[in-house]
Amino acid sequence: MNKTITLGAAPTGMQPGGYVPAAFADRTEAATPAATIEAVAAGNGWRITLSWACTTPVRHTANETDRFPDACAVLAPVAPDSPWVTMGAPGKAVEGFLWKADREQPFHIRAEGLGSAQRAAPPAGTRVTAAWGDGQWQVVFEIPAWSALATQRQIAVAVWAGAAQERAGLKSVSPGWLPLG
Amino acid sequence: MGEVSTSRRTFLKFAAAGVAAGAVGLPLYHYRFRSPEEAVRVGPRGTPPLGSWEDLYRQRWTWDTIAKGSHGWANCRSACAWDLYVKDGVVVREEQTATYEQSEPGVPDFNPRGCQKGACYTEVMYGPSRTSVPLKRVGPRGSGQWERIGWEQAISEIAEKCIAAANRWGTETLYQDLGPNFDFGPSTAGRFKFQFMAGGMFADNWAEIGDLNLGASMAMGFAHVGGSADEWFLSDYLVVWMMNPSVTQIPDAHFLYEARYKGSELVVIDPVYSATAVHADQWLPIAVGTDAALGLAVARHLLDVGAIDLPYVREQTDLPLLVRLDTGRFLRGEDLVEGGLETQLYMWHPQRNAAVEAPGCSGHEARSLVLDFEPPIDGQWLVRLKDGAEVGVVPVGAMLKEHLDPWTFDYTAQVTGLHVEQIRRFAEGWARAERPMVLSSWGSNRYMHSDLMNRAKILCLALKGALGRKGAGYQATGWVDLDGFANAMQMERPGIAGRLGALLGTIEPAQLFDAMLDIAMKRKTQNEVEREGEYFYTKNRLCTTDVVEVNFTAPGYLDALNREQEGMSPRPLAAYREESRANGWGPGVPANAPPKVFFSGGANLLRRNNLPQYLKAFVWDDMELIVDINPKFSFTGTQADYILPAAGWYEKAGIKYTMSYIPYVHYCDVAVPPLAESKDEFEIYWLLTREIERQAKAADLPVFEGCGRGSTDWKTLHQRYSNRGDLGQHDAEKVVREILDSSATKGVTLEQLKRDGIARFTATGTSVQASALHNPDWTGPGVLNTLTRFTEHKEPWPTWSGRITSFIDHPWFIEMREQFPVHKDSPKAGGDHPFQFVSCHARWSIHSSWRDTPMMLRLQRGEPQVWINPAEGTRLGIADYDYAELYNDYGSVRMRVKYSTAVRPGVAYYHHAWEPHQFPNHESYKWLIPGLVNPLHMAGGYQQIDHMMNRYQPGSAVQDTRLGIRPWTGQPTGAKPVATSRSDGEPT
Amino acid sequence: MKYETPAPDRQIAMVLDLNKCLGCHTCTVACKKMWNTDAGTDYAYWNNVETMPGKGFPANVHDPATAGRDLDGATKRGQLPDLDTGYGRAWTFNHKDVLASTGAPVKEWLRPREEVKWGPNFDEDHGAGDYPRENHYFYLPRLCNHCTHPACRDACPRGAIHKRQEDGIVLVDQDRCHGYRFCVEACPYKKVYYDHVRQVSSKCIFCLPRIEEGVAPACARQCPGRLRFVGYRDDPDGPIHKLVDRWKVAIPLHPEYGLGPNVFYVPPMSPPKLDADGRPTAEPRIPLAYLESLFGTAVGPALEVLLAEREKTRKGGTSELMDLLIAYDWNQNFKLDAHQREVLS
Repeated sequence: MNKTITLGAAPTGMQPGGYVPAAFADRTEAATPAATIEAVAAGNGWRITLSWACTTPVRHTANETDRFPDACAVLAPVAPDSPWVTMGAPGKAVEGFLWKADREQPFHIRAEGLGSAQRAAPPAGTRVTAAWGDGQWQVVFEIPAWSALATQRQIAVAVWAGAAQERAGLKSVSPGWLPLG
Repeated sequence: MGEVSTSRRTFLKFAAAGVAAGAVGLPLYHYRFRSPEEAVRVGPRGTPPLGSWEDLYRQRWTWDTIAKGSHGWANCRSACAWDLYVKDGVVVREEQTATYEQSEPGVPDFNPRGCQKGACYTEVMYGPSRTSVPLKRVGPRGSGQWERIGWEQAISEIAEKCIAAANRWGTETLYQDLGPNFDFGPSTAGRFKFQFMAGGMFADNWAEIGDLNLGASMAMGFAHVGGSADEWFLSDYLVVWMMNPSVTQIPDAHFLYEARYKGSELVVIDPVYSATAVHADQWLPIAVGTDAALGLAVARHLLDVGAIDLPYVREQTDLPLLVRLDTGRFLRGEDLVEGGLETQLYMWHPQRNAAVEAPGCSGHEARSLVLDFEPPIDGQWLVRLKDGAEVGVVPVGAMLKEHLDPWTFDYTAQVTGLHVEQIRRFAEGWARAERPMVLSSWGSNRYMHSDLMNRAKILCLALKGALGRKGAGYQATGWVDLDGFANAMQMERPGIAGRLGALLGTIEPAQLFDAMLDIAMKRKTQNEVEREGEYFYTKNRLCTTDVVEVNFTAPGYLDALNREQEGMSPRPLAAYREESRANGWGPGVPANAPPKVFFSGGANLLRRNNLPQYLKAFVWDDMELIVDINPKFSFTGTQADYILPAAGWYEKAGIKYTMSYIPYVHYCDVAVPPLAESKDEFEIYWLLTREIERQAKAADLPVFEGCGRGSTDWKTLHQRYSNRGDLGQHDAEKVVREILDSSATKGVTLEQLKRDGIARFTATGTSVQASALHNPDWTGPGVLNTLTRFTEHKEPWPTWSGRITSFIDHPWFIEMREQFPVHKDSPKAGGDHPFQFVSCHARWSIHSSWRDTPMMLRLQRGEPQVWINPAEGTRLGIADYDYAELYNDYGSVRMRVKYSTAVRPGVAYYHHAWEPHQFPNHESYKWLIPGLVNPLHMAGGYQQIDHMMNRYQPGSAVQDTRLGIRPWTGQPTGAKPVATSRSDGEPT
Repeated sequence: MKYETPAPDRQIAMVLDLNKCLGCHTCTVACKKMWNTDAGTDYAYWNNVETMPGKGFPANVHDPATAGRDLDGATKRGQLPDLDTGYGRAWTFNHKDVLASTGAPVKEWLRPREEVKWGPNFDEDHGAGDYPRENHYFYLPRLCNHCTHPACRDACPRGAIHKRQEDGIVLVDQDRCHGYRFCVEACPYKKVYYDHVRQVSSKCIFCLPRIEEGVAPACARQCPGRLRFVGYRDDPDGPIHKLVDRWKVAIPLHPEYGLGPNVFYVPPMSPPKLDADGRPTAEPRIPLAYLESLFGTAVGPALEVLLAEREKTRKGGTSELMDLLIAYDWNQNFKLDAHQREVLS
């Protein structure tokens, strides 16, 4: 696939706990309104390129307490009916890869519901390259194997704009699972 | 031999400290539990299994061993017991042991003691200023260019230079000052022993650092008086007068605030709304330097309303002593009878209607204050002198009343800037109080006229009968003495023979016999014999002087002060010094040459001294060898020729110096071996004496004359230092055992101290330093109160009059019109500038220790700062945290401004002891502080007014300094250069 | 949807008597040495001491704008302090350059390498009011309040913060935390700190390993002012119950946020204010209204009890409350129970 999609603000109202929904109720517009996703099969694996406009990149957060890095994630459902909006559900996991601008290695992530994401080292051979230029981030995930994506052939993306203090459920997301086509 | 142990006493005022032994793992002992079973459950601390993230936290609270420690060499006026937690050979943290007991029921206990500095000595120990290897200067002094050398080379070169200097200039040119960083253990004993046995010169620095309470010495005959801090709790009227315990006596301050809860009233007198004042019932925001005036108003009120303890005043004070109206001096024996004594004073006997000899005064044979009549303190009579003339006499009390007459509340309000109502309330509180107590710190001695202020406070207490009464009186830093320390630094052989030798070294056998006889015949009290012995020893045996005197050996330095103090006294400063020397009142040391070799150990002279630019120009640069033996890079060290890394305070056996606030001895064990190549001072001087002896023998060095107070043979220097070989290089703990053989630590063993860290004192000590507490009955239990020797045992006070002294008729005091305590304005030092530069001991450091420690600096603002009132900042156009230029006649320095509403307008306030290298150009505000010398402090020949270590000597007053403050906009700052062409004509 | 916070079986708590505080920060250093010596928390002070009135630590912590609650306790967005102007960076120093200076005419001098904008004690003894009539300040030591309704817990989308059932200590699970810092934003007391190296948040653990063995937290046990009391809220014989519930002299900081803090303060008395002529008045220097802005309306009655009991002892009487605050036997300030835990020997 290779398409530009409109992103929406992840709904804060459904975030766990009382604080985020109330404190960020005004976050109804996506900080990152659109992203381009290209997913190409490469051998047994995938090469997924995500790009989006970003005028004020945040790459470094070391030695600061109030900075959040730009980040993005690609996600696939493990079960055919793993829900996207809630990051999966018990027994219906979602999994994928998380890139953060202040790290070299991506995380492998897996979740069964909001707030349940587990981060782990990605499978060997997973690489991510990221570049920022001309007001644009381009992040390339090279994933040696991803059975969920191969099986379900659906993908979703999320983008965090560090400059807007986005993290966790404060993010711009694809409207739902996107078929690989 | 049995005689020896009972009569063994020492005549030195200072004592020692120590450390030792591998860390002892006593994991069950470090917390107090309600039952032994509870204690058992705590440890030993193993490593929790890493079953959860919480175990990461649990693992942080684990250790291999715990050693008992204290901050041995820290010059903080108390002592605290700490557990030192050792893990993988590193002291990772420290925590108070907190096993003190209540002194008596109804008084809070001492736990846990400690402060934020003690809680992070590990940050100093392993910090960026730690010295670790011997260094030799390779560039000019102060260039910062060093070469790392081995111990052998260092010791050999230093020995060689010491010998060369002693040969050429005499041993008295080997110079050490007393500290003030020292402990009462083997490392200090070693340092002192070297100096003592080499015939070097000890300079006392009590007054030079501004800590000596000369007012107390004038009024009572001793400067260091005060009991245990829990005695504060017993007072019903606590007057904190020139002290800030919340900042400078953190472990003890709680007793004040707890006393409030018990119903006591707490009054704080301070131009600054201090961290103590915030807890006061009355805060008196007094104008700077006017404290004596307030005291005089109180004294006047007490006499006015009759709120005095009349029987006490008659017996214990000089108020009933008669003064001649024609001369304004005491009526003396020599006035009345042929061959009468100058030292015999008189009282009026109302029944006999005649002047009668006052018992207990220095010339009277009865050594008791007991009176069998009631001498009046007011009145006027005629007496016939030996020449037949009749003169009017009045008791001191009558003169005092007249003297105090102007000090109405109204007039005092004008002088002090206080409201009449504040003064009235304060004075009425005094009148009402049953047990008034004044807390007056070392810092109360830093004005030119501090002596007058402290005399005024003591006068108020004397009128109330408070001195020597439990729960009342004067708290001004008393000491418990370890006579074993003086033995350890003086003996030349092990055991009883060594101790006997030390005793005979201090006093000649015939004198000893006479002294015993005097005591037996009650011609003298034991205390008087001790004081005479101390006097004899200090004047005739010990090569002792004071730092001001040493500085004055440089004419350029004296010149500077003489110029500064022009017009501040009837005659020039130099004239008083000249008369003092002519009269033999001064120490007379150094006699032959200014210092040539300086061993800095536990001191930071160039940081501390006022006008260091003059010291550098006229003293420092002429010295041939300067060695800093120090665990820390100090400013003084960086200006030296050699830096020898001393072991840190957790790395050597030590005993924290023994102040009476906390009536326990505090042991410092060796938690870990000396860091890197550092060594404890006992070992360093052991090596140095060995090398000096080796070179002396090789050169067949003649026996030196010392400084005219006994010869010293450097060919036996190490033999003597090592007690004829009994003390090996690593035998510091043996020295600890010798030190613990003290009357104040009877039965206390090293093993017990390694286990517990502390042991309660069993007495206040037998030598003179300790007898300042003057409670011969205290044996450990109970609150340690003081001065009962006089008030209960009725022994005379060690003053001219044998009494608490309000009136001094020494000719210089008459010349200065300071017979009675008076108020004198603070003279303007450094020129006529709008701000008075007032210091406080620091909250964040103990002098320059911890001063540059990042953990402490982060809790300040990282750089030296001067505190001013925000209104002043606005007026001057200097914002909070801006740099400002502080200037006076000596030049200028740059400092950060800190706003505080606590600071009185017109005051520039600072916490002291910043290292000069914390300022641009490495010049601190000390370059602007002349350090006034009060000529009266060079007076002598009048019993308590006589040069003496720890008691009476000229000092260097900082608080009178004036300066201006202006914005710093990039202009150069710096002290004015010192003209080194020396003027002639001034006496030296 | 707010998390429901189940009530713990017991609640551990602390009382701090501000009338005994010296402002010495021994508590701060004790805590720092114990828990926060790592690079990522070099700036952090689980326990700190503030001069009040003042901006505090982090700066503006007492400004309602920074809190994740409004003054009625409703949730609102809080602020995340930055390292320079909020907390103050843990400045590093140039000792090496200074101590080995070259002797050049302008020497390097010892100072922070970083630009100094704020620090953990930046407004030390600053206070407020015109000297000498009404200038005032007092010390306020602060640590995590281990709230009954912790704002931090409610803020964590990952559920990484929990309140221990056995003692009510609030903990950040260091494994679950992803360093999102909603807790830091939300906490009105700003007592959760982000470890910028490990990228997780951490906070006061009430010295949990010590509490587990019946030993008081380092800040309390090491306090030379002896102003801290530690025990369980429900222990009628313990100091907390007596001071908080029986005598009602110990009250929480910022009760308006409705979080149910379990750290309580005996509010500060102060010397009399002076009138325009400099005459002492009957009014304390610290304005009651100011104290109410910190401690709510309970501060007036608490001070009244304190002063009334003190009046008894001033007249020679006795007071159980005064005796308790005096702490004759310091060990009685802490009433805890050791409970065994497993260790590897």
